[in-house]
Amino acid sequence: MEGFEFFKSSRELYRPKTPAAALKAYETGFNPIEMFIFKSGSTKPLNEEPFDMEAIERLLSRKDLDLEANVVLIGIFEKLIYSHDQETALFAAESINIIENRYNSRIEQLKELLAKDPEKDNDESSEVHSELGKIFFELAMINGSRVSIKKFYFKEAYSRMNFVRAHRKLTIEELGLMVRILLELQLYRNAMDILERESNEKDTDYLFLKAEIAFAMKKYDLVFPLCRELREKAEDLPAERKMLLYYWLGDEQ
Amino acid sequence: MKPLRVCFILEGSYPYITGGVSSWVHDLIQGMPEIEFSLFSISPDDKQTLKYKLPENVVEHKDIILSHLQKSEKKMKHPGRTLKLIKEMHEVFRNKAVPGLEEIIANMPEGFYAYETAVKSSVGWKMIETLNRMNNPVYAFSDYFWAWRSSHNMIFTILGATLPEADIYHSVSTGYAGLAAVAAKIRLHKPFLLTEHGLYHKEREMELRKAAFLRGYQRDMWIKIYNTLSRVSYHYSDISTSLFEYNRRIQLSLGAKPENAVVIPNGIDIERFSSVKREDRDGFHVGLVGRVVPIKDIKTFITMSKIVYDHIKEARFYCIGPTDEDPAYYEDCVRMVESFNLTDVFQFTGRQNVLEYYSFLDVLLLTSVREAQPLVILEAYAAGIPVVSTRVGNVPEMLEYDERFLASSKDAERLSRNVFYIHAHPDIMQEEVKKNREKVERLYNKNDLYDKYRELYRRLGVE
Repeated sequence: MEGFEFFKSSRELYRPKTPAAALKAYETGFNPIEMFIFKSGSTKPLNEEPFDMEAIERLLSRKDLDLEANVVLIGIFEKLIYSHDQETALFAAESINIIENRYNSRIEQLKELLAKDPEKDNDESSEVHSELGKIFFELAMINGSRVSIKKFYFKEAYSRMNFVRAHRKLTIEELGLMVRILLELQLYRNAMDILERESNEKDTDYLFLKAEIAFAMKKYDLVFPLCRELREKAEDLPAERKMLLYYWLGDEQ
Repeated sequence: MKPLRVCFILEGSYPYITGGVSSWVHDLIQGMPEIEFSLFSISPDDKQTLKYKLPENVVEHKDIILSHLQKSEKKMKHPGRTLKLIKEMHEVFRNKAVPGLEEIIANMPEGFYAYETAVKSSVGWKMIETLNRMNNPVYAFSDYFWAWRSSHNMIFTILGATLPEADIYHSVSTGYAGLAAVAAKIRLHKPFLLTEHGLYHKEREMELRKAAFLRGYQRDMWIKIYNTLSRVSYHYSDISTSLFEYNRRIQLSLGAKPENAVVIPNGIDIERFSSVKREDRDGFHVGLVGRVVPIKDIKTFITMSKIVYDHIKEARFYCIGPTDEDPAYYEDCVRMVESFNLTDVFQFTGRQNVLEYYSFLDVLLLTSVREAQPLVILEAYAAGIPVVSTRVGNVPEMLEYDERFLASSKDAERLSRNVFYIHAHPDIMQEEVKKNREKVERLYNKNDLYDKYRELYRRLGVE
């Protein structure tokens, strides 16, 4: 028996669960190439219904999930919570708890660091507050549909970043985070004020953030000149930002 | 006449851990003074202190520590044939069936610890290698081996253990406790009664999903083992009881025999809770009785409180239960209350005598993500308090699938709508309260629970 029929009927064959494992199994001689072709051709988007529960579980079990993956997972679980199947609804609710708990344990560790040495040099504690701000921001983002909780976490994130701002100059990433928190809280003026006050030079980071604020305020007439200004500096932009810029300007270069 | 002796087999619960299952065991022992009980506790480590004063009819208490490496005092009988049977057993398990374990267990006497045989015999080692090649070939063998070692070491420890003598072995979960009861049934020819409050394998599965330290196939291996242990318990139990029909059906789907699988619901001391004198206190009082931990989803309770308070200014909220189990979560909840400007109207009471609160609460809330058959609902019903809850475990049945009082997990808006309904319809609620009290008296009386178990013990003891 050859090809696909072989692995479909063989009980002794290792059955990889992901395309990556199937490739590894082929490379190490455990499986024929057909298994990899089958596995890599059977993928579908995670958030496409009906959900592939095994793929969702596998992703959930990874400890290094980024914000984007967590947002996708929570979106799926929020749909599954309303499932008529009690087990599925329970799995969804507990999975949301799992993701939130992962954030909470990181928060706990950071708070312990602060509590251990309350007199700690402000520069050092600013780093911890900055990390806390980022985590609270992510917690707010994953609670997108639960408005009250989302707002609560944005406020937490804001207060942490404000602490950092009171003790040292914000890095460009921190400034970006601060601006996004304020935009989410619909405090557009404050976002603009902070950007103006915290930016040393009117570089591309500044221009991008300013365009983001203008866009959030629906002042599209302000976005366009900012984009044009950015185009003049396009040479220095990383590829991703270049693409974003050309997308908004509607041209190729 | 010698009194009947029942050996409770307990894993991670009574008498070292407080909680629903432990209280249930403690109450049952106290409620049947005519029966002698022995305890066989399976614990993760030996540094545990008793959380209950053992009743006088507990005549023996034996511990076994799962993590300890044991030394064999006896030998396996017919090792060649037994290892062949064990190999065949794994193949049957792979097909999600339960093989006959009688000969295998009979050939492995108490005091025999199979780890060395498994690792040092060529048949045993070949099985480990083959299963690794089938399930885990692209990951490190050491990952597989250590997961195999820790899981199987616990199984071998249980199979080698000597249980207290008894007429009936009563396990309050499947898992390792269930396996110990299966071994007792086969070796000692004594009946095995299985009681499940939740579903052991499902609970372990959720813990495994959370565990970030497991890699590759390890998680699947553990899940398969826990599922298999449940199947084995259901298959070999003479009687299996569950708290409600849904769980019974899951037991049946995993091999419990329909004629032996019965539902025995929880019970409460009706008199204690129905004797609460209700007082008409100003305002509208909403309470949640439970520990401040993520599984109770206190954050959803706080969010619901915010929505309710925005519409009903006289509303007051009480989170009644210990706050020290997960301090970080509690701190987060406190900050959330502050952030929602609820500090003046929301109270974390800590551990309290719930009867005091049952005297004036207008609604009892349950926002849990996981529950089996929550006693707080029965207590509230007996005390005359309407309940709003998330749709978890047996709650929908307890609330008669009445959508006016049910919501999906984490749905704070729906929960608050249900609370608004109760606030707006005091007359209808009077009728509901009456109906609920009758129901709890009829179906959830602790004395009936004792009678049912007394009858099961009698039946099994006679057989």
